[in-house]
Amino acid sequence: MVDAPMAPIDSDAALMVAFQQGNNEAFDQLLDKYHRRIVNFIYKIVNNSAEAEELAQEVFLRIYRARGTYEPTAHFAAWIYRIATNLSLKEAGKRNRLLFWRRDRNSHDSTAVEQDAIEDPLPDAEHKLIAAETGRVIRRAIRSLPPRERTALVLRRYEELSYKEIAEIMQCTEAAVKTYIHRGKLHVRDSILPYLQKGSI
Amino acid sequence: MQEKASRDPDAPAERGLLEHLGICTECAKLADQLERTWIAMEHHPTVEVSQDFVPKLKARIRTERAAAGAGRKRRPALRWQWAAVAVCVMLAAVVLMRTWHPWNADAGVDETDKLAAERNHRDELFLQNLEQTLRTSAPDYLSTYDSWPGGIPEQLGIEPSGSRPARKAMKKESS
Repeated sequence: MVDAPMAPIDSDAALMVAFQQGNNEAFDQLLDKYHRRIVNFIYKIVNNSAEAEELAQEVFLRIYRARGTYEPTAHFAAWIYRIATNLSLKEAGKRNRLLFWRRDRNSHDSTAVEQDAIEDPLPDAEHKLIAAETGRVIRRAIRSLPPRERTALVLRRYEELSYKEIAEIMQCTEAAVKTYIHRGKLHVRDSILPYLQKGSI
Repeated sequence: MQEKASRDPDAPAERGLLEHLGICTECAKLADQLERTWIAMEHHPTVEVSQDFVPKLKARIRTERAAAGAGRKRRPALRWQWAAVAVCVMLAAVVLMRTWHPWNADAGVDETDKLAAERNHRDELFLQNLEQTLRTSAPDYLSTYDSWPGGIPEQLGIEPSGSRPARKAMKKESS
């Protein structure tokens, strides 16, 4: 007996199902809709634009490869963000280990090393974007967060997802998500406290 | 801001919190800082995705699809290759098992040594018995035998100096 096809949960899931059935234009639509969002989301996690693009390419490649096994049981956005989150956290973990190793070897100049490892060779357009003092301070504050706090905060603040969706993406409870977000906010507040007290933010 | 907007100010817990913030300056200060932090976070820079992002991705997908297609075509040939390799390995294993027994090789050496030692021991006992018998039944025999011209000790170039030392010397020579 053949199972009846599952009804897609949202319009993006319906596009994915169409792609699954051989409609390549559906994939193009999904790509068009999500690629900027995914690149920017990953950028906020890994803090490097070239790396963010590379990882975003990997996200879409994985979606392409998964077309045969995809089941529209959850929101498409939650699925794509979960792939992006897993890849970003893996990358962030690798970088943390590298930083730890380099810091260990160059303990006399750890700040410079971290700066060197994280700083992105930014294109001119991006330089213009982050020229504002506030943007720079916020970016630095967010990149100093532990990976899971950073991910939860970015998903909530910039991707405007619900606690439930974030919990689904990060594969943890809603309570844990709330804790990550609250801690993340406190850390960012601590990082920008001098600016808050001066009133420049 | 969004965090605040998502709350229901009429909910009992929320109402209690708002009342508390009205009387506690420390908490009110923290709430204000957190809210300003949340607002300031919107200044995080965004990146412009490079123009070649989509073409590059599509090229990668095309490459992958071509590789997958080529893989499908090659698969039967690869299966035959693996089957041929497996047959060769099995044949080699059979030949090795018939000609070479590494698990018995050491045991064989031990067995030979053991058998030789047992045979020597039996010979030794036999000779001792013979000697004893000859000593008791024909006391002159041994000296006659040892000093026999052209006898075994002489052939081996051993001086006949009694039965036991002579035989020991013979054994040493032969080994």
